[in-house]
Amino acid sequence: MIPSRLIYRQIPRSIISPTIRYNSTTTTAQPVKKVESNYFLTQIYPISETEITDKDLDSWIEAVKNLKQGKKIFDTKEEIYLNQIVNNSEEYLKKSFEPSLKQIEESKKYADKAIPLMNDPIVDNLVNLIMRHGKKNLARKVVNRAFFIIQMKLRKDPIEIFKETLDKLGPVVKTRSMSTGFAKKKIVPQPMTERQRNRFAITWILEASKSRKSNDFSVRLAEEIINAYMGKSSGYDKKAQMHKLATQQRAYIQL
Amino acid sequence: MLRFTVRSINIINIPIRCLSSTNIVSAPFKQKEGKTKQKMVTKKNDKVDVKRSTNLTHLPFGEAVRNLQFEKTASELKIDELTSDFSRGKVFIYPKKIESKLKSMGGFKKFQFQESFAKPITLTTSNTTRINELFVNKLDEKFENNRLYIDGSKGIGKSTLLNQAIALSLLKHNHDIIVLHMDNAEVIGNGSSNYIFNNKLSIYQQPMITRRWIKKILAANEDTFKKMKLTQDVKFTKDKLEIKLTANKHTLYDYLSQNFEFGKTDPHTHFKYLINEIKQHSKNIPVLVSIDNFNAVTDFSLTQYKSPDFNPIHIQEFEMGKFLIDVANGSIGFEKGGVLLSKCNDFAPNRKTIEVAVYPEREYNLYMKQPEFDLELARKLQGIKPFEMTSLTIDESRELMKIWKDQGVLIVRKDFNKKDFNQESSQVVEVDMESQFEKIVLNSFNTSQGNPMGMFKQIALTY
Repeated sequence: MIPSRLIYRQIPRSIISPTIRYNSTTTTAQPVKKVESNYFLTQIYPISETEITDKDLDSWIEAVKNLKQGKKIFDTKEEIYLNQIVNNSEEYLKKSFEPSLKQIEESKKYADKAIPLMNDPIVDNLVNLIMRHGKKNLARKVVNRAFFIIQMKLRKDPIEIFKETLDKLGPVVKTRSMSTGFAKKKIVPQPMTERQRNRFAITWILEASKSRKSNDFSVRLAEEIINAYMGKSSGYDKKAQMHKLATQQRAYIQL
Repeated sequence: MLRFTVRSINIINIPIRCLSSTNIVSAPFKQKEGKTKQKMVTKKNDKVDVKRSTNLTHLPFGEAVRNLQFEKTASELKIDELTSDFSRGKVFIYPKKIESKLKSMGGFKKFQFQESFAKPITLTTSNTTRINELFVNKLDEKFENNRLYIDGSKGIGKSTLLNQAIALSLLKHNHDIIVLHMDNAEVIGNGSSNYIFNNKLSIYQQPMITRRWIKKILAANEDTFKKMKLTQDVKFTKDKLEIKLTANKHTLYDYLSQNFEFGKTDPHTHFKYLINEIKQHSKNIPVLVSIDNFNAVTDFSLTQYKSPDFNPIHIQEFEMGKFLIDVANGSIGFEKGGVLLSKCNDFAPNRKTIEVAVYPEREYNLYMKQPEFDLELARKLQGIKPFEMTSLTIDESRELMKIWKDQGVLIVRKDFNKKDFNQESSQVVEVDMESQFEKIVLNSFNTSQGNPMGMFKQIALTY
């Protein structure tokens, strides 16, 4: 499911705003459209049941204006009708909601289904780590383009490839120095959560992508993700180093 | 004393060596006693250079996508070739010969993402049928009466329609047609080329642009030009030798393939000769002129180039610019054929020259001046008929997306959901992928309103 907010951003502006006709001075009288009786307006405006013309709407607006100014003697139909609504305003101000049987049945359809997220949370994490100075759209553009190159190069789902590389590249344990109260500090290995592991892997990918040739960040990022997917990234050395340190200090593991 | 004796021995040695047949330089030096022979030793690096095999490119995204040849990684396409009696709402590939012609002309552009497929694909829409009726079927009629301006919003497929029109007309006339296609008309005025003044013709010439364009049209019309005999004798120099081509003996292909004076920085009359030759042959062979980004020519009529007075040079003072305007005007003098002009939305939308010329019934601000509006040019370009593009229908876009799905461009995924870490045995929900695909189709169609570029961006460039 692609979020509507994102979609809106991806569409060219010319599509969103239809072609506007400039300098138009033509004043051709347009025929007044007749509104059918089943139209929503006739339900809340029962004075003219079959159809509502522009005149009716004007008189409605005038009546609202008059009532707002504090008119107490009512001349027109609209004013009388509106006054009735004002007097029985309690009905309309009720905040309790009782669903109809139809609505209850419909809600059962979606009982098991969760509301889908806008984006994949891991991709969102990558976007947020790339983002600088709150420019999320720019970061998203970089990721989109990088993923497109990955998809074209490997002909697989880039999200799956990215997740796989994070699984491969992410370290399992990190080490933390703890003060013992004496002169010597001890280095304690600690397991990491999935999010922490991903963060390490993503930062290593981003660091490594800086050394690439292209001036375009999206191309560099794509290259580095493909590289890491193939098992050639410099991040693997860092991961091995971290694991080595942790195994050396395994005596201090606290369970 | 001892030193002297050693030297004296060396001196004595030299004349003996001189008598030998080998060169003195190549003779080995006599090793001094007590010293070991010196050897040139290269330092060996302990570190092994690891080659990064996935170094893709140094280019930015737009060029990188074209340069990396992604079409080679795409799966095979099993689609029919485009024919003159095509059915509407289907995806086709171009016939091999036409595809190579379109490629050489620069028909497939950047950000059209044709690289994502093994071959360039095209969808026949209502626009295709309309242009077939309005333009392709009328190519045998008078050139003046067959002038269209393709108008529409960004990404709706104007350049693709140009390609389709060229392909259909080539198919209809069995490649017996002259196609003069210009894929980027903005190069004439944007100051990217060199320019010289031709005193004889009193016109500015742009050797770089002319040479490149002629190279393109030569590649696209090789077969046709080989059939076209010259109507006038012509001379030119090649490799400091004068070459004479005679009328009714040599062909236009001989002339264009040998003549490199188009690109020389000296004034010449070869472009005029070429147009004249095409004019002569246009009685028998129809001429299709298609100009992409035409609004860049008209709306930027005052170019970036400066005259000796340091005033901007008008587009009509250039040889190529004048040719394009004359073609659009219909006064070039071609007998049979037609002109297809196309709009590009990347240029200033507030400039109205072409809009006033094409839509004379529309009202416009009479007080507009240069550079927003060029009244003379607008009057000159009258008579061009507008061809407004319509967006894809839901069925057409579904057909297109099926191909994208088969080619692996559109990936149908499950909805993204939050992970339940606490629930160990989470239920595996089966998702119907067909309904998911239908959901994507409806979603992208509604948001982009049938704009193919918008749909592609939403599907392949949004994560």
